[in-house]
Amino acid sequence: MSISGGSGKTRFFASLGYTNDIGYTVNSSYERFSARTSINTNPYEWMTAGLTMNYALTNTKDGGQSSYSSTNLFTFIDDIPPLFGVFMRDAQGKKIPDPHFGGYQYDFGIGRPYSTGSNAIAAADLDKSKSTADNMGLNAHINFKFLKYFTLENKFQATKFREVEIAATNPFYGSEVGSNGSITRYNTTSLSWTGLNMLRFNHTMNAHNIEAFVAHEATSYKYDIEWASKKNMVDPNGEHFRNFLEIQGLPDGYGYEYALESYFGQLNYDWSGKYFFSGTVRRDGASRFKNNKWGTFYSIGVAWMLNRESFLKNVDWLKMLKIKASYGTLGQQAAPETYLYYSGEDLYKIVPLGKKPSFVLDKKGNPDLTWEKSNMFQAGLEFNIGNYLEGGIDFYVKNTSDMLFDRRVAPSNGYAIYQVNDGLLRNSGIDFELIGHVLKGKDYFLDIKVNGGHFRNRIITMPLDPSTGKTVYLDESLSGYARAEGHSLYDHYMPTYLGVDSKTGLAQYSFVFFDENGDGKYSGKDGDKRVSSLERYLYENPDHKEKLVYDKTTSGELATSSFIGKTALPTLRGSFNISGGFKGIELSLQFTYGIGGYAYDRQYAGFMSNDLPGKNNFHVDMRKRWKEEGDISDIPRLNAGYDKYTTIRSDRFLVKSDYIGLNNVRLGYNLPKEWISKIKLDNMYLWLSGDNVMLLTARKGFNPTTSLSGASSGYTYPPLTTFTAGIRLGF
Amino acid sequence: MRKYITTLFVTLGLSGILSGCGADFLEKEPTQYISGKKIAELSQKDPKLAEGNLSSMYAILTKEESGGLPGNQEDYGQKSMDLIFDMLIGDICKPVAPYGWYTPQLQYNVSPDYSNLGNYMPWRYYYRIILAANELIESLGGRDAALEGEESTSARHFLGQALAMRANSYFYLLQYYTPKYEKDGLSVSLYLSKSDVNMPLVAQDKVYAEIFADLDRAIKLLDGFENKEKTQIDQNVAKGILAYANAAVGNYNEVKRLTDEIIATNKYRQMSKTEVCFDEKTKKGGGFNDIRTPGWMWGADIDESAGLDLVSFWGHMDVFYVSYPSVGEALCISDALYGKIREDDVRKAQFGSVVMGSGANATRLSLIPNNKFFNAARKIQGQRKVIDDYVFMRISEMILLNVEAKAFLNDESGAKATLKNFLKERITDTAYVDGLSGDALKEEIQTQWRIEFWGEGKAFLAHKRFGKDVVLGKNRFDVANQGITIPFADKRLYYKVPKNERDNNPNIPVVPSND
Repeated sequence: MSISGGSGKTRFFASLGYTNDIGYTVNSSYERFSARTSINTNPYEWMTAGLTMNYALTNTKDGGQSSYSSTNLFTFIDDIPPLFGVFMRDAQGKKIPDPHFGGYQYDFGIGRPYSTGSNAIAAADLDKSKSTADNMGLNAHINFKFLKYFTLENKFQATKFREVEIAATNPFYGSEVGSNGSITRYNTTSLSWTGLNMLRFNHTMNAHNIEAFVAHEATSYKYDIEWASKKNMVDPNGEHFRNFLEIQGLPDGYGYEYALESYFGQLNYDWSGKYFFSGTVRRDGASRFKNNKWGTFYSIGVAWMLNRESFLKNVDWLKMLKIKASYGTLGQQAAPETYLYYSGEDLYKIVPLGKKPSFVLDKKGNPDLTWEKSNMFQAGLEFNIGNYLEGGIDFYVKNTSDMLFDRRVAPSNGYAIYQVNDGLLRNSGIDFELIGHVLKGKDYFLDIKVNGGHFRNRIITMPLDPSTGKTVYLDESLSGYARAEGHSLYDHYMPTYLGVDSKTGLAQYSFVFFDENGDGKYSGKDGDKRVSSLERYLYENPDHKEKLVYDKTTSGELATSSFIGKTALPTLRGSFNISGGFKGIELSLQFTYGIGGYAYDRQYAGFMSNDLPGKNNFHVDMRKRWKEEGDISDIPRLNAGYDKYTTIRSDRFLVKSDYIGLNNVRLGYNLPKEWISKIKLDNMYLWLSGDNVMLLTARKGFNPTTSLSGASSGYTYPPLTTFTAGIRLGF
Repeated sequence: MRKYITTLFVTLGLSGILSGCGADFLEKEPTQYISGKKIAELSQKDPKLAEGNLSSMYAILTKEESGGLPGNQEDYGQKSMDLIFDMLIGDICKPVAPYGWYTPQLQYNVSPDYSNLGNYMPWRYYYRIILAANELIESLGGRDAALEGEESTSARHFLGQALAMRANSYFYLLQYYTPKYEKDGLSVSLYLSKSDVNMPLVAQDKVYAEIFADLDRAIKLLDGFENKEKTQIDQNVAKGILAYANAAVGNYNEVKRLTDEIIATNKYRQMSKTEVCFDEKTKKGGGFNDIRTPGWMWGADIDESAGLDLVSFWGHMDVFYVSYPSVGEALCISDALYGKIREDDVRKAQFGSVVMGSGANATRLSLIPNNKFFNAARKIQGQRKVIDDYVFMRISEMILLNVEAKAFLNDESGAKATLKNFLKERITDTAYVDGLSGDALKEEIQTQWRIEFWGEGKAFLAHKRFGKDVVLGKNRFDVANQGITIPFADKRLYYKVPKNERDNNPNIPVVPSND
């Protein structure tokens, strides 16, 4: 609901909103109440000012979505073998009524091979996991115009967030029976603000348009968290500390913050809307770096509107044709982990030892760390042909140097990781967008919109190994991938799966060895050497190449990893949209697609593992496994964990990440004016919409869109398929 | 007028744009951690805080993730190292393993395969302590710093502890990462200064030489150091570590001398028969949960401030905690070892059985140490936060080392007398000891190590010294290993230099010769 209005030089706006989404799992919901007011005034010709304030109260329940297998609903439901029931049964097989919560008692499966002593459904149902948050926002600006060409803009924007999270565990069933119920309350606050002063110059003289500005911007972010736990509850529904009799663990809390400061200026120039030039220079400082806080970056761009040239003036079907190119440097300092906000310092954990402090080195700092830099060249064109086809194509090459990344060091040094700037990575690609207005008439239309992107990612220079002074040849620290010059960040590096030995039913993997004596057999002695990492071995022993034997093995310990010629990155990813309408009825379909790339399906690997009976769920493919001598199958034998190497990481679990998804369908109807004018309405629109309607992938249930590498995980809330119906009235 | 306003705006605007923020706007201090710079600053003003650097070595012993594996619930410091030792020799096993912590170790999937992350954890853990020790040693002027006079007393004591801690870490690394004692055998990397980088693997005797030098100096430096709480290394503990190191290289004269000295101080009393086991009739005794126990020489005094819960020794060991045993996945004594405990031995009752759940859903856990390691309240799942202590060294170890030294020095009557005196507090009829000699006596001594120190990691050290094959029990979930014999120094019985070290240390070949 909203109200807006005003008179003369001052306008106001106010709105209220409410939504309540109930999740499809027990105790999962999201409720939001929001309010917004804004006032803008223009008292003099040379001054404008405005103030917007917004507030939102959100209540979230997220029962059963923890990161532990014993209390995560999705993992639990995926992985528990279906022969185990959800509810406790008595000797006659009847459910046992629950005197505390009503309904029936859950079975926590003491002694159950899968996740004994837990029941994630019970945890979601009987325990509490919820939060309530206040979000407050403030936006203010005051602008002055002076000396004809100048504007001074001042903006201030701040967001304050405050959240109370409650995790309470019931006293009757599950993990907290011993403590007679417990509660942990987390209080979180954060404050971020940005201040901007900008002096703008704007001038048009004949065909010359000049726009320029200089600016100063400061950004600050501060976060605080504290929590405490108590146990032994009085009222099973109580959520306050007084309801609990004993303390559980010590209260704790901490904060972190960062700040950014930037000076920047830009000049834009165009000549009669035909030739465009722009240049930017900026200097940014970041609190996260210690000795080298500041970086300077710049960019220049040119564009040419060809259709405005006289030689194309008479080409009627060409409504617009623009070519453009730019080159510039960008700085990147993002800290994905909060400790990286202080990456210049050696960070110690304060560990209480009795009542005395102890300082344990936790993160090794690098005081010389600085901005990661990208040099990017971009060229492209935009066009509009005869009002039927419009679109654009962009080509780019981006070289990123001084990349910020965690360097692994030999753990014998006493620490394992610190952050450095090093390496050179090239990303290049093409993005395109085409919009076709296929049909267009008085009361009908059909539009088709396609976009996509293809990109390549290649390491040009590997980072330096400080101990040798040479670049690292091969970095295998991310399991399943290896990084080397000429390869992308996501090239799979693992043993090859060579099927099932039809005699024994064992899984076979690639095995390479150096055959010193040339007998074609690996003896483990007489100079025979097993090769665990082919790329590395060839680098270290280039003269052994001729005497390498490519064999197979049923031992995971002997298996040889190598680049298997598959990458996780897709060849093409994008979306397309079909929308059409006829006499007030509108239908639109939005698809996303991905072509190319291979992802590691961890979840499937879990379902195919050789576990003890009842320890994990199986995929239906397990029925097709090898059972007796002579069986031809791709799936190794199953023997309750006796074979150790049934599902080691190999290309057996790589699956094509091709997908096509129907993200959204929307059907709408604008009621004819003549019908609704009788009931004093301006307009009336009815609609029905569906989200995440369908996803087709190489394996049913596999979703490659949840991470860049496409690898699957069992802990996430699968995208909801939702249908919504609505009505919009205009008075 | 208009002009003035304009000038005002221009001035305001330019000052906003050009002045920027204060010089310290981009200077932020963490509170989630404390920076090295800040510790140094604060320690200057408050010398008590300097002890925080010393304490860090002790904190690592009990801290989660000290082995560098966040999220791995086996990663909680020294007691996990001790448990893995007992798993390697099969004395600790699991009849069922639904959650699966420690199952790769129990199945011997870790030790033969250097790429298994299990090999990383002890390596990372001990070298983390070594770096902390090296930083402290260097800040105090190095191993041979004079530090004389009254005013250097605390510096002497700090240095002594740091040296002993470094020696202890190298000693454990050698036990973990070498098949057996061989003077010239390639072993681990040696870092004696905080500025050493990517050190190569060296021969065992080179490491032992540093261990001996560190401990000799530590024992001198720790003269007069009193630590009533027993949470720090005093002179006796340093001597105990030195006795272990000497035993590992077969230098039993020194072992005898050192253990005689420690025993003669009379500062400790062997844990009595009531102290080692809970008596189900009297509802008294036992626990292995209190550092004040007179038989303990060194341990960790743990209370809620440590913030430990499931990821701890107690979370894996004790049904009376919210723990894995309390949901049916227990660490048990191997039935093979249990069978060796005499009927009249009080330690037999350390291992009992508990029925979990009820009716059709009841499950019985057998041969669990519910009467050896337990929370005093003894309520199933009664305790979540760890409030019970950890033991690192007991006087009984010194007594058994003394017995062992005498046996290896061919003083069998001396060995038997001391052993019988020790067993008086465990076994009703110790006369059987009189009939033992030669290998049988040595075998009995090793068996006593395994029984007395089940769950404490000391039996593995004895295994390394006695050099006997390992025979596994049958109450194991890993069917393939039930009842098998593993030859001494087999690749399953010691850890390998982890893959991560090979990948990142250019001075270590991918396949070192000690694999």
